Amino acid sequence: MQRTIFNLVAGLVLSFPVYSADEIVVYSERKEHLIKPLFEAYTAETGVPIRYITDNAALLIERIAAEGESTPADLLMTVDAGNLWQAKERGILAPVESELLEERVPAHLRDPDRQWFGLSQRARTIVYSSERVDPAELSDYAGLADPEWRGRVCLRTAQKVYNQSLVATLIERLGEPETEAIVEGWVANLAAPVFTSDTRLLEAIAAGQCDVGIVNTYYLGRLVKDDPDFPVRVFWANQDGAGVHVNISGAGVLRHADNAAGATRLLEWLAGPEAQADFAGLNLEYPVLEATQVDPVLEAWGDFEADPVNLEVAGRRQAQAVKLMDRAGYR
Amino acid sequence: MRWSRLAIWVPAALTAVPVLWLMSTWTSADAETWRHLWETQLVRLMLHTAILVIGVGFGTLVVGAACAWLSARCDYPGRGFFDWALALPLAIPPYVLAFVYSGALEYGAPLRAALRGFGGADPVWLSPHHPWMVVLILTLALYPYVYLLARSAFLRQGNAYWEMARSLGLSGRQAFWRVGLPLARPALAAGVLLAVIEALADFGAVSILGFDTFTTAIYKAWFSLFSLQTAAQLASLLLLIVLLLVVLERRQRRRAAYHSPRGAVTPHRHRLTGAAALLATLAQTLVLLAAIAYPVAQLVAWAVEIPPDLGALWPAARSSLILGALGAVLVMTVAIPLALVARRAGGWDRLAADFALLGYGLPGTVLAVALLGGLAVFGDGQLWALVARFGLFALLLAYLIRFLRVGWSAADPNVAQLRPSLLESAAALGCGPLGRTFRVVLPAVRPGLLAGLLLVAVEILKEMPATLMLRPFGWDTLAVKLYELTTEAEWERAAIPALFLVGLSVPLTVWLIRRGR
Repeated sequence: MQRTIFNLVAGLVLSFPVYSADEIVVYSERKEHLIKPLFEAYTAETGVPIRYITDNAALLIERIAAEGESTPADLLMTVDAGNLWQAKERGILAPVESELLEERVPAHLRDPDRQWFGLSQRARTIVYSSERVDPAELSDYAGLADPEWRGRVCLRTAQKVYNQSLVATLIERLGEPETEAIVEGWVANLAAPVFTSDTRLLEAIAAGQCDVGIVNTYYLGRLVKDDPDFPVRVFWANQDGAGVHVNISGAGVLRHADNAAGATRLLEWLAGPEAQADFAGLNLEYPVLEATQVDPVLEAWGDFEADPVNLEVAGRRQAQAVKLMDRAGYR
Repeated sequence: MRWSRLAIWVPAALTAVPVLWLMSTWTSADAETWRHLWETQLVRLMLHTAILVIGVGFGTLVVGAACAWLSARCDYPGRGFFDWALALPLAIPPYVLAFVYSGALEYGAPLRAALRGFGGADPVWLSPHHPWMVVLILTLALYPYVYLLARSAFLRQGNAYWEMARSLGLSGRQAFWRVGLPLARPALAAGVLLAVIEALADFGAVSILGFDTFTTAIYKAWFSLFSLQTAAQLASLLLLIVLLLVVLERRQRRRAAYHSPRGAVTPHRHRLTGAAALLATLAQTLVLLAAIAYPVAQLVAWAVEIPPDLGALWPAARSSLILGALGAVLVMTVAIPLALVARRAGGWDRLAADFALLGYGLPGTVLAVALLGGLAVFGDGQLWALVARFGLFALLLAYLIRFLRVGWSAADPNVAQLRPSLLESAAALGCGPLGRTFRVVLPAVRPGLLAGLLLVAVEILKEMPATLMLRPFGWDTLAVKLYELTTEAEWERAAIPALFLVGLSVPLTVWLIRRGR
């Protein structure tokens, strides 16, 4: 009995991972149920096995930094541009030379130094109650700061990186003083304390707690798929100005990757025609590759102009945006 | 140096690895980030944390001690059921309770809608981020610590003191306040301290509820302002607060000694009748409804909406169980000798023992990153390669550092009531140190050892952040699966792993309480 236990413990603690030569190791912030089907398809097509681990991006970055040269990881995948920018700052990414990637991923959705690439677009725009709001009243993000929306706006917490990226791009366009006035206006117009998730926010609009809000569209997409009569609609913000704020889910090859070539091929495949519909579609996001088929729910929302600013600004101005939101009382 | 001191200094040295790394960040400071946090939020966050600590401390004390007294010293209809059922909420992680209630208390939820229809105004005090609600939810999740520790303390008291008190003319109520309760103080304090420290270090539940506390500032500095240094410095302040609480608690009961009377027997129970019995049954039913019956019902309702992917859940359940078992054995192997030696330690030894137990006050994520940082310093990055290969080493070390206090809390009351005269008699009768350990000490601490094993195993099952960061490939636990889904507000999908987790913890909890009968 004791011997069995000893063997069990020793076996567990000392079990050396077995690596195969062409295997790709991914550290991913993108959730397992969104990447697993794609990785399985890639393995089926190419015979290359993929192993992955999921966690919050900031923690994956620390883990990679701590692992240093001995890191098993080849690719870091995140769900926003700010963290990719931060990974680049920390020096854990390596530039990738790939004509395919530059052809498939639009320039504003990838790093100017080719260290990270967007794989899907996440549009963050205005949503409104179909029962209480006439879309003609809506215009851009700044418009939600107008006094006519007093007591009618719902926002998600400023701790969420999606809002930090949105404010970062506003600062880039409008400058800090104007952006701060807008954020103060939002806060003054809040109908309820900030929400901890976009889904809760959308449910609050449906329940009548507020009339308008700002969310990533795929959260609404999920609710609409469950209930086609869900009383909240998408409004494409800023169409007369810079366009809708988009963020990305993207990835970069690691500096200490053992299999950088394999990781690059996986990146190219994920940005390519076979994978794009699923990579974006499984979560109702928008593909980066043009002319990719999108879900009927997204088709019904129609086309929109996206803000063409390069997303490295989301990382570069993130701390500035967070401090601005803190000063404006946006929690 | 006596060898027994190793029982203190080894765990203290292990705890020192992450703590020293945190301290090492103080060589410089990011003045701008500090000024910003101070000017915009620190005061408010500290106030929130104070509300949480005082509220949860008071709440768990009242609920835990009252239920424990009813269970251990009274008799009323349904007691046999409440005995073990009241410990069940231990099986539900605070973040699961938080996501269930954040849904149940939102604006559109039936309860709030009904109250609006009734009185017109929206009952804001019922919203999930209202301080009062946050305190209530965390109290429901954490009172079992106090209940379990207090219950076994009340049971151990036996009859002698109580009968003495009554024969000296105290009424039942006076005897409870002046004898029963004070005698259980070490256990009550240990339980409340566990609950309070857990609330202090919590990030999962409060962030789901949208209630900003001191830990919010830690994560804001790290994730949003990209200043891990400031985050580490804030976390070390949190540890200072924990140390302060621990030292304050002990100073208060300095020089008091608590020993069981000779021949402690199963205590005589006070039989409740009429209104008192009804009140006892009703109040405890209410606690159970709010802390476990409703949350589990809600999880089941969500779970049936989504076809479960059981194939992915079995390996996760297996990982959870293996880690729970390994971690529990490891923690108790260290905790029992520590409790024994620390009891009689003074001076530096005493301080080192307190230090060794400090890890519980570190938010899991901070502990994980500090441990990685600390280990990396040791081997100039090379040691890390070794650690990475050893797979579970870093994770088990994190469990040991974080949950040593839980194991110690379970063992210490037994050790405390191990009368020194017993050991002296054994020695006088020619029993050597080894004999004393196996023939006197171990039998005496057996209940605490078992309770500790089960408590720590349940804690590890529930543990999320450190497991996330330190797990090797292929060691996704149920809590890891839960993280995936709760961060994206996929409550319905999250319900199934949550139910699995509760399902694994419940038998452990039931066993724990049945043993203590």
